[in-house]
Amino acid sequence: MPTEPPPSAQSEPSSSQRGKMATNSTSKGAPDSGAGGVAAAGVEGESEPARTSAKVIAIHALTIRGLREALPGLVAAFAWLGFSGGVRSFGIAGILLAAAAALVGLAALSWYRFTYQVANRQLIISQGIFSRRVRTIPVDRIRAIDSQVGPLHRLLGLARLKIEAAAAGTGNEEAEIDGLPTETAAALRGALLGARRRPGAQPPGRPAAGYADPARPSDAGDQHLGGFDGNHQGGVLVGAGGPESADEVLEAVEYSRSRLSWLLYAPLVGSYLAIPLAGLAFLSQFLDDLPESWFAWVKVDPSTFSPAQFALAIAALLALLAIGAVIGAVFLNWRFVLVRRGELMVSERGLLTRRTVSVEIPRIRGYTLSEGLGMRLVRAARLTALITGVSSANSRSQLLPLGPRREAVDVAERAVRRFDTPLRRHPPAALRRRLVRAILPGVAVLAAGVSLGFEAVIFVGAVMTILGIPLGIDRYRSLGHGSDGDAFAVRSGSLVRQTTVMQRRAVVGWKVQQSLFQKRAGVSTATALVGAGTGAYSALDAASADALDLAASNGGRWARELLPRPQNHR
Amino acid sequence: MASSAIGLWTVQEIIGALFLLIPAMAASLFVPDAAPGWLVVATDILPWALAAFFLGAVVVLPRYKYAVHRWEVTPDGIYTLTGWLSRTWILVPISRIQTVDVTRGPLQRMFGLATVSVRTASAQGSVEIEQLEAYTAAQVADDLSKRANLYDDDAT
Repeated sequence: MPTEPPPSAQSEPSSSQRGKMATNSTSKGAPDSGAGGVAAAGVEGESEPARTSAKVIAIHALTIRGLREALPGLVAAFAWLGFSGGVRSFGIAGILLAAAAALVGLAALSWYRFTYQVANRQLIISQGIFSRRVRTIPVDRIRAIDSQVGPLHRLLGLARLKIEAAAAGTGNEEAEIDGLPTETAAALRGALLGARRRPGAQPPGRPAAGYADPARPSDAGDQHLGGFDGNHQGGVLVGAGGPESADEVLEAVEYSRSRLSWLLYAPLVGSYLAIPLAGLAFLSQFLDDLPESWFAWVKVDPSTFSPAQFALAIAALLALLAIGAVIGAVFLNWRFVLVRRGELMVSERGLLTRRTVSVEIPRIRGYTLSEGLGMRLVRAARLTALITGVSSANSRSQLLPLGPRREAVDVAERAVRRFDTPLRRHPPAALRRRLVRAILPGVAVLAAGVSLGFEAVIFVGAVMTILGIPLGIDRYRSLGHGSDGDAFAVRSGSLVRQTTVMQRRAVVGWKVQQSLFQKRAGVSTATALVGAGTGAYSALDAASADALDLAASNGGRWARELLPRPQNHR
Repeated sequence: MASSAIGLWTVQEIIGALFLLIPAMAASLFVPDAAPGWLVVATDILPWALAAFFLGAVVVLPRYKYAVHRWEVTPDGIYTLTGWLSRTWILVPISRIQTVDVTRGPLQRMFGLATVSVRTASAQGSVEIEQLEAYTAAQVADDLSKRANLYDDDAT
């Protein structure tokens, strides 16, 4: 939980805490980065607040990052310039020069005012040019570290670390350290996540034999091969995980590595199709501003198209969209690799901006397998880990961004846990309820159309009603739940079918709901409340007895209170 | 649950009813004569229909809710049953409690009532034990937070 420091620490944490820091070391696992300079001191010695690399000034000045913070001041300055006739006296060039100097100056100032340190098992970040902000994050609360290396960063050998700490609020609570040399970034990452190793902690559902033991890097290799015999593309990589792994000498067990062909799934996934659409929308803003003469060569008039030409144009547009989606996927998911390094699950992806996300394996409580309608046509899927303290809203918990379903299931089994129990279908009453829900909007539109006498509305209503039938049936077919003692699974959804497998111990409560209609149909909805992912996962319209059973068998003694009152009335 | 909850809910229902009744009456008063006939008839009937409905709601609903709502703190967990048309059972184990709050709204204060809200690590997993007598609420909250403290993991 990132907490604001007490008032006493507000001014300068360095002076007050310098004394105890020498004795405190949280970087047992952090190797000597050898990067030298102030930046490395924060990782190795834990004694001094360190600055990031000064090269980051160039990046911040170029990308106008400091501007946001200094905007009020700049607006005032420009207003003064405007009123005092400054434009005439300084000239445009002079003002531009001054602005550039101001940008560099601001970037330099914010770099100078930004320090970070690890002390007392806390990460302390202080920043801010005018208003100072000191943020203290207990190392134990750090759940994930997201390292991003954009094109400019790569040019200068820098990385940007985003640190996600467990927090109830979803606001702007994550800390960011921008501009660390890549070696220092890797070492700091190791110090923050890898250094605290709980004895006896091991990834869920995984035998200790196949487990990378960071303490014995020399003989662990054979063990891995033995432990992962069935791994068709696995093996042991030593420090081959990517550009930043040079300093992390822990073995990496590879779970998944993307293939080029996976990129072709992108046109069938809504979120990837949205990328070219967003691009088009952005470009179309400028279309009106361009001179007419530029389009003189375009001698086509859509209104004179023959049906064949029209179809061709539509096909061309669709092809463009598909290509755009693939290009988007290339930028986002290029060379995706998922490996386990010690107790960390590390994924890397991206073409221009290379993202390395490290997540603590003992914090993974389950996974969600998502299959959109288009993805199901080609048996593709997306896999997301459910991590305590990390909301599933961000892409940080992805275990497989987009790949074959078989691969996703395979990764889920090896990286999280195996779940073989077949899911129990929900009663026919659930089918009736899904159908009614799916058809009702269409029927309402239809009724409105009939009563108002608009043919177009009637047509739309009829189409919606007819489409609602397969949707309702498919939504029913998706429904299911099951449990195997240590974990349970719930599945629902048609446009995006989501199967969630969750450890029993992740449950922080159960909610069972029954409306009047559900009561008549003999079904209830059981919702598991968990401190991971979206926070709640439901078995929709399960037979009432099944719903109670699911809840009662996936909680501790407390959950048995849910069973019918006569049985456990005391 | 405290029996004065019925009084509180009655007042709440009356306030809620007024929010709909007053606009409806205003509509029936100010509807222009030139408006189509069905509109005039509808705005004439609406306030009376609403009034009849709310009279039933004000009298029946609070008592019905009082009869249905249940809460229980067992050695292991907190258990609540709420709702009137649709029922909701919630169970939260004491070992997973993150925070316990007692809140008292202005109306609740008039009736000497309070609500105990129990939050868990789940963004959607909070339980509220509504309309307890203020003294009971304080005791329950105290008891819960003391027992939650006995568990030393981070309740996730």
